[in-house]
Amino acid sequence: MEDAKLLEHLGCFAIVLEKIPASLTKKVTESISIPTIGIGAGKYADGQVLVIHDLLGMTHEFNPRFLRRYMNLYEEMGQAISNYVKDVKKMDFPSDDEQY
Amino acid sequence: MPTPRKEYKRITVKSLVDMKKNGEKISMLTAYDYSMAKIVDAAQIDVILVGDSASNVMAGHETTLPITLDQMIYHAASVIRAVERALVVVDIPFGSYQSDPKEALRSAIRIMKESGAHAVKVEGGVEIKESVKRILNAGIPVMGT
Repeated sequence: MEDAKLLEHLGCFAIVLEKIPASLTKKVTESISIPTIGIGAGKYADGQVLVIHDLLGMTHEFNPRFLRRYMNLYEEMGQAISNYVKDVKKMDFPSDDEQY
Repeated sequence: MPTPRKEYKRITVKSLVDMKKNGEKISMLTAYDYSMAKIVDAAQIDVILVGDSASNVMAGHETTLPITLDQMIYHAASVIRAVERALVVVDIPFGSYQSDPKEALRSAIRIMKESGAHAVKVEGGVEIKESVKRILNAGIPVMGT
């Protein structure tokens, strides 16, 4: 809280709040005029930030409670790549249409 | 209640403060390279963070400590080449601002000049106060953590 006020006072244009209770995020967000952007800091922040690899599900071992995955790219990419490998091996790729 | 969204052609530091005033939530995501940043920007994200998390997800380090200022500038410059709308904020990596305010300013200036980023981000509170002051005095927007 003190740090947030200090950063606002110094002239920062926004602050990121990382993994703090939602109730504290609410207090900080209401007590400063610059935007707060939260990660694992709950719904009261003025904005949200995620690491794109997590949102896309490319990092499958990382499973914190605050993370919402919008895709499961780790599996989808793995599937696509193994399909490509298979197609190359069995001489299905390239086809007659995929060459000059 | 969601308020009608104002259209922003280009997100600035001021847009974010306006969003807070108007009760519009700010969307921010990381990106570290051109291709990804192109997609993220076209999807109308407000802020792209070139985070020191590149150390983990791009370089495979256990922590964010090893990434260098040069590496952050490389990622930031790649992102900047893709972005038309979002505000691009770049982490000053560990070790490039903690030791003294002059070094902090030098690091921030290198990021701004060599990548074309719009703002920098630092981590810490009272212990880095002088560094933050010096960067801000040079006219470089700073996001705190």
